[in-house]
Amino acid sequence: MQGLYPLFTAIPLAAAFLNLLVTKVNKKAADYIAFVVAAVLAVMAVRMLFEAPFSYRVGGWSAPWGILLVSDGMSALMLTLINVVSLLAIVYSLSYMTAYTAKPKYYSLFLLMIAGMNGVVMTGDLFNLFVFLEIASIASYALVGFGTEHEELEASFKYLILGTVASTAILFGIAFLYSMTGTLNLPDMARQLEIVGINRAVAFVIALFIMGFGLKASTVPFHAWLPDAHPSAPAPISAMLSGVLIKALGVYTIARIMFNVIGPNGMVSSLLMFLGALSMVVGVLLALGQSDFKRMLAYSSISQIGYITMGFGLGLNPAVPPAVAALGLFGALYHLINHAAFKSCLFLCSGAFEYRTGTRNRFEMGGLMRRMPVTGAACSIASLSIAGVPPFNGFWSKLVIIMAFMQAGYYVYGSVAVLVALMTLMTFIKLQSSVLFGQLPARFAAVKEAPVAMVVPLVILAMLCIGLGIAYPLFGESVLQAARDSLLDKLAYMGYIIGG
Amino acid sequence: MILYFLTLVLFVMGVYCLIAKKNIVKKIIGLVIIDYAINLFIILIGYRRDGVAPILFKDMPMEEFARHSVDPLPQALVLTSIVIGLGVLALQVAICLRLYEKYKTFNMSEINRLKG
Amino acid sequence: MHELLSIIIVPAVAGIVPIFVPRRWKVVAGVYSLAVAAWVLLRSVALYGGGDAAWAKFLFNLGGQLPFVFGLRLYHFSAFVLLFVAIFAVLSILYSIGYLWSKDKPSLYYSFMLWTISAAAGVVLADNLLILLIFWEILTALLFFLTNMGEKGHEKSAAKAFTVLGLSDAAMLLGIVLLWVTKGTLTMSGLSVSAGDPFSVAAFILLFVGAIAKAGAMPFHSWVPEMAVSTPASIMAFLPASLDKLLGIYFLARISLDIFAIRAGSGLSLMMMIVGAATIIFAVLMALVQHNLKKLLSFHAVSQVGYMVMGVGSGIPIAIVGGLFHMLNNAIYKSGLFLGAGAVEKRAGTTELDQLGGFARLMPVTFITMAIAALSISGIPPMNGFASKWLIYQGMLEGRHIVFLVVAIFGSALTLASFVKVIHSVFLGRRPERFAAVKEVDFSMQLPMIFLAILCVLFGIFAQYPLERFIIPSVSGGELVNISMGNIATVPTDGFWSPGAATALIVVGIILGLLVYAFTGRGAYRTDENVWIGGNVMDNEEIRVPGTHFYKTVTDDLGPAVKTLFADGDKGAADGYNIIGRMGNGVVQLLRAIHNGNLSTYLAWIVIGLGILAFMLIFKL
Repeated sequence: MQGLYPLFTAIPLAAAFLNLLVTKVNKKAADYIAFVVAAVLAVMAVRMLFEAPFSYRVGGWSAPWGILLVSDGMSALMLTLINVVSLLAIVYSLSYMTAYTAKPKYYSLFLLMIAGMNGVVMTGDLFNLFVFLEIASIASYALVGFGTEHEELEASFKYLILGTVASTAILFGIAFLYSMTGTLNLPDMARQLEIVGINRAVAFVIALFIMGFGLKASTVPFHAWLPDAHPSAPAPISAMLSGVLIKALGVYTIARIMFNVIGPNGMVSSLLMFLGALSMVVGVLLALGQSDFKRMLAYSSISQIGYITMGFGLGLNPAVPPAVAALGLFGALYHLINHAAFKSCLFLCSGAFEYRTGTRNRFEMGGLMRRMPVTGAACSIASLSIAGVPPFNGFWSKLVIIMAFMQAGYYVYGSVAVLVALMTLMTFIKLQSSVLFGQLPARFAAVKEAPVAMVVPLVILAMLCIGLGIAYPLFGESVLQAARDSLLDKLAYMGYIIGG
Repeated sequence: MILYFLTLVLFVMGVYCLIAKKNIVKKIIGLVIIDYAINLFIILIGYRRDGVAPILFKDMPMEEFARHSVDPLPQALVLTSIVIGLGVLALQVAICLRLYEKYKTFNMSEINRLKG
Repeated sequence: MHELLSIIIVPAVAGIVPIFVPRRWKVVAGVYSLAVAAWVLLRSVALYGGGDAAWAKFLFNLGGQLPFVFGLRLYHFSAFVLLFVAIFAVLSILYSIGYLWSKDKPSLYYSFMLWTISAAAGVVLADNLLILLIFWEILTALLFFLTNMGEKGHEKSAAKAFTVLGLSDAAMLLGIVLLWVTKGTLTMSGLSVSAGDPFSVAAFILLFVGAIAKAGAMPFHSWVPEMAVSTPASIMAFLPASLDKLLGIYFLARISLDIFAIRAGSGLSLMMMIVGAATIIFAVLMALVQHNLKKLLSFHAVSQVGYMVMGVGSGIPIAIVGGLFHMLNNAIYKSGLFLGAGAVEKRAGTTELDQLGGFARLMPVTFITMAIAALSISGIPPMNGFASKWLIYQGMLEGRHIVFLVVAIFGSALTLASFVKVIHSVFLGRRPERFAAVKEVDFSMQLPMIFLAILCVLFGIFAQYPLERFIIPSVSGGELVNISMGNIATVPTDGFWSPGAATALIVVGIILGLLVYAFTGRGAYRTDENVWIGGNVMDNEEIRVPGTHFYKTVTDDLGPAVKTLFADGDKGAADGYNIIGRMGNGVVQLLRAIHNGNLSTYLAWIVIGLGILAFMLIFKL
């Protein structure tokens, strides 16, 4: 697999352009190309979970001059997440996107976005990371506005402006770091920073990065674009954005830079914990007051990302015992994959309901469990998962995070986490009550179950919600702990500069 | 040092333009100014007084080159950054035009159907 | 598979089958589930006779640090609770088959019933607090789905139930985590905490909230009345009336007796007794003025929890025995009452008291079983409700808690008053013409009601047997209750109640009364005449006087404070769920107003946020 590693970006990049060319000849080809590419990538990504960590020198240039690609536990985890969810979203799109024109362009943008995200999680070079981040971001700006109606364009433009500000801040930070360390290679930079130490200039860069990557991850107060952008995108894109994009571009990058490059730091830790807690509370409160199905989900994403950020914050804390910090980080990573499963599932469900009923206002729906039992069941399972009801996956990750915070002595944060879990439960009870149960409006009496291509991804994701909850021994020890250890072991990361 | 300071002024002007101006086009211009400020900053990082272009000629001794040439990496970065900026700008202008078609206005504060 | 594990796994796996049974064949699913429940019952009988057992398996180490041990333990207390869980499961499923016959419900109903059995068994058998919590929350979620199978308005009541119970689950989670942090273990049998330091007190209160919310005590009761009307009676009888009481009080007993060892007279004990007393009196007052049979019963379901909390919380062995016995008795008569209400609902199509009347002749079995259950809940000797309340009274006397004693007795009197109303409005009184053709329900539905009524009588007259078999061995210090020679007496005081002798006296009294009736005023004691108003003969059908009107004085003539309370009953103004909901909504609307959709605002947030971040990092690092 080592030699094939760059293919994770090369294949989707090539396919994105090939797609548009082939479409000139055959209209249906775009569907097949996108599906085959996504399937191949997903299989390759799952294979990566079983690979030992290695680094890959692009073009044979040795570090720190050439671009370095790193594969460790964290990268493998993120790659799997991105490509599996992408495959499901593309399967879903086969049916769903027939309602839109310009399907080939949609697939091209989608593939570009995959290429960008894969690149971000693979690369060991800061500027390279920025480039891939921009590729994914630009594709996502365009995809958000894909409907080209009033709301879609407005959301896309706001997302574009705010996203560009974030990218600019990140670029600024990169330039700053380069001026101090003289390198862009992340492992090398980590080594140089050990020498330089965390001075004020580095502190400013950290602030820029928390803001820039935090905006991509939508932590409060940098979250304002998300509740507009995620609901406006087509449902599979919403699922991609909430499920993986904010994690690949925001959460992963913060984790990689803070853990592997900067290292544990008390102030960074308290800021991340505070921002996480703030996001959790603000997000869930706003989610409670929404009538738009997808907007509710979008706000809830902010809240759930808060859990992850908070867990990372604890992981970075040098003051608590290492075991407790590791537990917090572990909980955050666990929640990260869980969130990808249930939030993608919920967004895809919302798309299925919208596809059949033509509305996103949950108060106009009702009793759909009877008419669309499979979608309804998937929606219900995902709702219970995100609400933290055992034995589904959300319960376990929230439990780990809460236990870690309590054990670390942060009783307030721990209690906030419990309280937000309760409010999330309330949000998703409201959602289920108004959409799945209650009286079926007369005009939806003839509503049918969604098409097969849309139902299959839903069922798979719902199964994942159950599986990630009860089959912990299958993946917990190997995948999650490997990812955690790769983040905690800064020395090993510095070692990648030697290359493999 | 004064160059850095001027870059900062440019940057702050861009931020001001972005936040305070209501017109979409002006906002985009503000973003572009910010982008330029950052690009200038990156160039300045690699700059050295009396530097030469970072091209190693056959007859030039290595030590001499290292002492006089400017850092080549920032220039590469800026080129990439400009290209990315161009892509973003194109997208911004395209969406801006489509927005005008729909809303019949360039005033961003009137374009707020999405809130709450 | 270990015998303890099988009792959890088998119904859980068996519950998958009904999902695939189509709606119109739901009877098949019902019979199948009945068979599974019967198997569980047989197994739990065997387990009950089999003595103590334990089983534990280390499953995994969550995050490398949280050992997750699936520990199960069967001992006397859990064995008898498990036994009754299984009994109520069989009865409810049996009843459901007839009750759901003509209703448009999915077979999934039976899946949820079976999963509920599994989860309840898990709660009872769990020896690890985390395992207990997991099954506890699964029960909550299952209740949500079962409630959502109800009639009009079900989604609101289901949402409320899930929210309130979710709150209790969150409190329990927090309590358990606190225990884990301070004690480092979650194994219940090995956990002993002296409730002295603030952490332990906080942990206990959090766990207490979880227990009483499940049982439905105030102030976490409001989900029970809310769901009463729209939820199928079979579910009301199974979950809120019996299973949730059994489990809630079981958990309360486990934490207050085993883990924390709350002493009589301590502050926590007083708190629990106050919660109990308040629940008794306020809920029964609310019950008095209800117009809907199921809603009225649900308020009693709340009120009776007060006795159990008071008894268990007092820390006095006799009262604890009484409280646990009351838990059992309450489950018996309360599910009997709900099943009876369901029978009336099935035949009359309504449970509004004002519209019912004169069903005694039409549905004699339902009438007699409900009357027996009503006597029991009102604490009339020699029914079982009296026996357990008697022990609680004894305990209060022993602890010199005169105020609580008065509240308990007064609550009992009010309970009787409201059941006089129920029996009158539903079964006696004038029968509306449209119910002339109403028939008794099917035998499959009668059977559970008859069985429960017989239990009510038996557990009253022969109270020493269930006490001896089930309750006393479960309570340390319970041997102070002397049950020799068919009497129930307490050793230190000389409270003495002999159910056998009293029953004989009561029977003699009733026979004497019948004799007097037979030889003196026999014949027509009531004649029907049409009422004559203002020169017109009125149709009696139009001017029926429903029994509920007798109780209007309660709402109208008491002081303004009580009046407000009653006004709340319908609108829910004093209901914590609504108050917090409204306050929360204020915050939500404020936050929504801040997100004004203006790009410049959002950009300003980013710049300010970056500024604060930079300041913190640069100057405070």
